[in-house]
Amino acid sequence: MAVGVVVVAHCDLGKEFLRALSLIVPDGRRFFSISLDPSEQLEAMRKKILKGIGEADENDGVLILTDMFGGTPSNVALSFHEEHHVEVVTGMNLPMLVKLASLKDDKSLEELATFVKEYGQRNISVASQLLPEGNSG
Amino acid sequence: MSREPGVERAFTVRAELGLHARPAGQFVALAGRFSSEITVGRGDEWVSGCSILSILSLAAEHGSTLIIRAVGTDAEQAVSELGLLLEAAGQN
Repeated sequence: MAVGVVVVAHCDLGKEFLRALSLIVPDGRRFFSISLDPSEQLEAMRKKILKGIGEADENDGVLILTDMFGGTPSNVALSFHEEHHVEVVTGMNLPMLVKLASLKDDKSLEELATFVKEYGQRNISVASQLLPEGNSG
Repeated sequence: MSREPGVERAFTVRAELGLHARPAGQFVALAGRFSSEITVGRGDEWVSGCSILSILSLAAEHGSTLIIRAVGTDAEQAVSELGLLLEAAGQN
């Protein structure tokens, strides 16, 4: 699989997500992060994302993970959907990144986007409801 | 499906914080070096030894007992090395 992965988020959230990821999966695939500051001009943001897409793309498309649907990083990332082979998945979490980093797969960009969305949703839990019996106290 | 003979042993999680994300990542990385199929069990629950998130779902806290099971040609070595990692995880 050579779908590239770019994380686009407010402030340095994406960079820090990738830092945490590298502690858990030190030898995983390399992802790119783009930090967007609210004070930046739209064109400057687009330029940064475009550079990230260019670096991540290995001709099989680029999966863009953003922090929140409706936020500027998502909105700006989505503007590339028409002209580039990208999918934007919003509301990323660490389980999604851990899975992506260790995935040995040949999923297409579109399959990967759907898979990672469902995986992220599945891994949101009320922790106490996961604990084995007799382990809640 | 025929069931190959496997190696299975119980280990105690020594890390003070339990088997958290980083050691789970190390476990999966090590498990991936063996050709045997590796599963980890706690009580009645068994998960793949190749998935960090599945291992985390076992919620193995300090002092808990996990069973490592390996099936394949290098099963004995896999269980030994993975068990060593579990029991040495105090440094993590």
